[in-house]
Amino acid sequence: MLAEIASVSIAGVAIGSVYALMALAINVVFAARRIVNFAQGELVMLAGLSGITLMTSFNLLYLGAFVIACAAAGIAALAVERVAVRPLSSSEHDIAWILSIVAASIILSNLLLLIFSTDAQRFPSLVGSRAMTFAGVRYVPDQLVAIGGAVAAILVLALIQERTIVGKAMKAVSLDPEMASMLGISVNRYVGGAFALAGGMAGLTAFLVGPLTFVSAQLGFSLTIKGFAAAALGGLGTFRGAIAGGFVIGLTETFVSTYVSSGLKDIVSLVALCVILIFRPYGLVGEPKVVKV
Amino acid sequence: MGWKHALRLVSSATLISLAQLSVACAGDFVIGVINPMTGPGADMGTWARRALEPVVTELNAHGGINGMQIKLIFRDDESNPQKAVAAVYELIQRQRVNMIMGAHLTHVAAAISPIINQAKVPFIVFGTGAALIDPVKLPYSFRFNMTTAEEASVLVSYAEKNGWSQPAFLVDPTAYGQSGEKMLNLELAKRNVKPVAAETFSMGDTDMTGQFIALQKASPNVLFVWGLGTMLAQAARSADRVAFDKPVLGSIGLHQEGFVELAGSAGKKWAGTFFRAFTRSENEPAPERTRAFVDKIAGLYGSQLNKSMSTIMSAAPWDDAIRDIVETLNRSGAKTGDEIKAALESAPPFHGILTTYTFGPQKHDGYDERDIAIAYGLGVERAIRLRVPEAP
Amino acid sequence: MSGLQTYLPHRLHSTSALRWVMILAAAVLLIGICRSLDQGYATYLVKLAGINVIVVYGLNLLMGYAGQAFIAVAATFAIGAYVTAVTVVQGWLSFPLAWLLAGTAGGLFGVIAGLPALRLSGAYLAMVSIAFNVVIEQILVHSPDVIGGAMGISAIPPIEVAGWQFDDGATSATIAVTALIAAYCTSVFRHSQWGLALIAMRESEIASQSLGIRILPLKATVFFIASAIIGLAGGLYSPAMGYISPDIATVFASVTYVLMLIVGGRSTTFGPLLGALLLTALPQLLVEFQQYHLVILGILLLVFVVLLPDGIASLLGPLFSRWRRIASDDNSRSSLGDEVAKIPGRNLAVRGIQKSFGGLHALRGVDLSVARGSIRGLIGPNGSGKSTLVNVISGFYSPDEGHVLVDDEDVTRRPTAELAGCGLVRTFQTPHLFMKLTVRDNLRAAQFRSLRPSLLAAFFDLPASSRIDRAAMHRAAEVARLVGLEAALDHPAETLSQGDRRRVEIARALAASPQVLILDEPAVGLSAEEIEALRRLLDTLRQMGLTMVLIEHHMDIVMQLCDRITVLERGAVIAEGTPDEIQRNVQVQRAYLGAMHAAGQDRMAAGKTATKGG
Repeated sequence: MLAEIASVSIAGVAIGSVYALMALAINVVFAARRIVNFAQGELVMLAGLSGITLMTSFNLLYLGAFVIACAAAGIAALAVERVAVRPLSSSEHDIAWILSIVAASIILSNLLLLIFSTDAQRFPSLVGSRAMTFAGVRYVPDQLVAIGGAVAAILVLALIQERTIVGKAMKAVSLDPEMASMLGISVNRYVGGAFALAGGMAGLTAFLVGPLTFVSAQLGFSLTIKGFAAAALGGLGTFRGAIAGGFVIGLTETFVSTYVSSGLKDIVSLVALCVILIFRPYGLVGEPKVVKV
Repeated sequence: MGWKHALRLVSSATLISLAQLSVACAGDFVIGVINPMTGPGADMGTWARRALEPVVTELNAHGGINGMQIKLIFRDDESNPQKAVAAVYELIQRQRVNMIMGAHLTHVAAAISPIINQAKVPFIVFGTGAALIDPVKLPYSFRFNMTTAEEASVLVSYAEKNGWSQPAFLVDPTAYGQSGEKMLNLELAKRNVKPVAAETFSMGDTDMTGQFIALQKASPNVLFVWGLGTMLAQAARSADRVAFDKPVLGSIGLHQEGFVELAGSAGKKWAGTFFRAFTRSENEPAPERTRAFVDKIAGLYGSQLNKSMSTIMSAAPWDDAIRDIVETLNRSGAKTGDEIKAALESAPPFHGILTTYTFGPQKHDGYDERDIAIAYGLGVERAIRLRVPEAP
Repeated sequence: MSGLQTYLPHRLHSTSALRWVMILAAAVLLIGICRSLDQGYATYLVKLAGINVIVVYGLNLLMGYAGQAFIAVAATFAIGAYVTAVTVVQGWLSFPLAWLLAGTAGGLFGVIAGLPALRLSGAYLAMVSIAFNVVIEQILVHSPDVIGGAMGISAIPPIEVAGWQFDDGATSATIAVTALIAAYCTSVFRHSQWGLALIAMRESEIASQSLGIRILPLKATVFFIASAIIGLAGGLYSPAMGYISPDIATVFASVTYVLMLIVGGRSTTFGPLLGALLLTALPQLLVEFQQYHLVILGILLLVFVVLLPDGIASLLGPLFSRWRRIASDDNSRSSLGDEVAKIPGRNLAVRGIQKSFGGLHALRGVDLSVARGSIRGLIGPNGSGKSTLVNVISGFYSPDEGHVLVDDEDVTRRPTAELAGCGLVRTFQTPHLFMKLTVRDNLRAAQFRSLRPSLLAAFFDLPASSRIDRAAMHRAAEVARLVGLEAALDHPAETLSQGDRRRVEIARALAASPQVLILDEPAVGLSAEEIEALRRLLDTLRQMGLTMVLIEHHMDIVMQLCDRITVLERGAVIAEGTPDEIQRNVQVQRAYLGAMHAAGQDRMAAGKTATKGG
């Protein structure tokens, strides 16, 4: 019984790591300019599909494919920023950016469909995708890699944001772009940089997640929704919140699916998100903004 | 960028799109093909098109239908009934099609069947739901491929013969999976059996460990799965992770590309219903005619065929259907919707690649149930699959 | 006047009865057109377009006029569609009742899903509503047989009323007429007192509250009405199409509706119509592009959102402006007779107010008594607590201790919106005007608390609403005359100069029938002439009997105008008296000089910057 719960937990945390990575990337963009990158899922799929194509059709080594895939996703992310985000005003009440980013994600996912066709692809695994047993607990090595990767990513990001000048500049840019630019910080470059970083993270996500599942042009949006849910649950803009949110949703889903009903899986996490956001609009870990009169 | 620029952009875009409008010429026999080219069923639409175009070229070279060249017009239903309805209206009223083929997804086909039948346009439907064929309510609908009801019947019979009396389900959340579950329940009910567990998953799920742990707890002796190849591959890997070792039987969706590609050795024992013509038992070779068909498709689409089987699943029924129709219409000289309907109903049996198709005034489902076999999803050579062992 | 009306000669639209006759005529015309279309494709398009028009007008109410970023449109629509489908197919209800239920269900969903709107705004609300949308869609996909699950509900019978089954032509006519009524009523609503209150709330919740507009009931109301309209559209969709599935509830569908609104032009009269028609027709045209059509659609949408955020209606607006005649309002030219009206000013008293923020004692036991009909000046160096005190009095902050009394009524801790009911109104340091409204409409919105028709009258353009509109416009004109803004009545607030904006701010406060008016630094940024005009205005108001509290840094106007002056320093009253007394008060002098000196020492000692603003 304990072994079973352990297996379920590992699976929950592994999928939670996927969501956490998505949430981290969403937060990176949110930290630079208070918008949610709804095209993140498509970026992940782009990186994954390019990676697979590079490895199978061009016989590139794993590392080479990884680098190029990250670069491809980074460039696509920059394109999204330049075309769909930069031209719009950054007033908080204006929701035009949501529509333009969603339009961008529609374009991206259909382009992926045209380029890579509908075939779902198998992702080669680095450490092995056969199930193993340890002390009676069944797990898959890929799961551990995913968890490890997510934790490492958040540590690095938290470090960057809190200890380096770049990180602080990003924070300034998100809180008060006008002031930041008057202080000599190039707002456009930082926002662009954040998007590029999100693209790179998409590559990392694809390569960590790929072996666990598969990549396909049509899976982007559902991944984005889960990532957004994780980010919002933890508190938009906080990296710790992203990890917390990701794990909470991953574990909830897996436990509900195992012990209650698999049909309720998606609904439960989303309903929980809605309820929490009604009572704690700034997430579990996030902090409310004080409005000055 | 002032509003002038934008206005120019918009008007040029509109003009360009209007200029692209094309309508078929008067002397053609126009077939509208509605299929998912995007969305969850996009596989089927793409391969259906790849199957149809070369055959039609060949048939046109031999005179088409009663001297008329066959013209194909493809429309994407986006796996969405609302879009399909709009596409159907456009095909019927603007393009003035003589026949409509397609609609792989049952709930999409259900939305458009009444409209097509009302317009008295013959509808060759590929969706597998039972309600899609009804010689009384939908007199112009005909079907060439196998149905969900038939698949369920074959699967449940096999389980019954093997003495597996405690089945469990794992179905996908789309209309395809849900209708499969319905049909399985109907078949089981005839034998007074109820499933001991029923699980589902979400499209894009990366891990079904939870579902399989729950299934294991219910101790079934067979698992019925109903879904498309890629998701079933995911299921197989998850099953492997928890060492779920019961026999698994599924629908034809199991034979899609994705399953072979992604399941790896985890799906070794998973078997699904398939066209008997494309299966063989341990000792016998594949049928000649089947080999010839596969070679032909390989010649056309070589590299893509290496990936396995969606070609066959999608291509063969279309190939059979279009050849049967052209032959029947050429023989009878039928032109209008009513004439075509009568011609199809009174046509002699057609020996296609997959089966012998027979229709009649009360029989609009052409596929012979005896030509449905259960075969393993993996271990494919040149598109021929290995059948499961005969039941005792 | 409603946008439609400005294009027509006055006589035709002067009374609500006549307006409804015109709508009736238009409806008859539409019915004729619909019946004469041949069944099939054309009728199908008309039905689809009509339903989309209804949805987008409802959405315009919520997203356009009320400015709520609520994206769960398709979910609301689907709820209406499913309620009708299930109840009619199962035989539980006849169509008319099922349709009413659809609207109610949609409205209720809107209120529930809109609850977060009370605490969230802008992007957060948008994203939460996306989550709600996905939840509803998933529930529909995993629903039991009677709701159809992923396969949906088929064979939905056509509309049946009193035994008569509607054919295709009758159905499309019904949809077209409903669309016409939805378009008309939402446009009329926008120009009623209710509509102005919605726009006021969108432009500035804070200012609206200070004028007595209660935000919570207003938001709930607009969420209900808009969602009910969308639900009714869904209720028509089921019998019109005969088949529904969870595909109508996807986020993609919601985005499509929102795009119809944006492309057409939100907060305009014809924008929703244009957008709905264009985006219904466009996919039909794109069909030729086959597998590229979605990419092209995405690109087109992106182009629109980025380049034309105000929609097509904004392009066409300038074209129509030549034809537009500013509606003359006879009533506003009434005689200048009754100028010397009396205002029943009330006493204001503040006792022992304490307020701290964390470790900072902003107010330490402040007492203040202002006699009715007098002007009290409130001065003090920066950081003395003036703004905090004003915020406490006007209900934006709750004091830790102490009381605020108007006459003898204890109004401490009452919500801001309620205080206007007691006659307590304030203005702001930076004007929070309703920028997109004209001056006249700003002043009309300010009267919403006391002057508004029933929802029914406002929505259905009943005579009661027009009467109240005229009364509000009359008073608006009066107040504008008093403040000297008569010439600017029809100018949008955002086109005014800073000085004029301040006058609008004051005029707006006056329009709310204040009995105690608090003015927060009204003279900032004004020229000498403007300050003199302000002084004369405040003097006039005092003569009319209004009680006022004036926070200011301009000593001239304070000394010239105020009956008494209270001086604050570091959160406590250090002096109170007539202007002469205050000017001679040594403590006050030292406070002003000393404050600057002390601030300098603090800065050196702790390296902190002094807090700004009182």
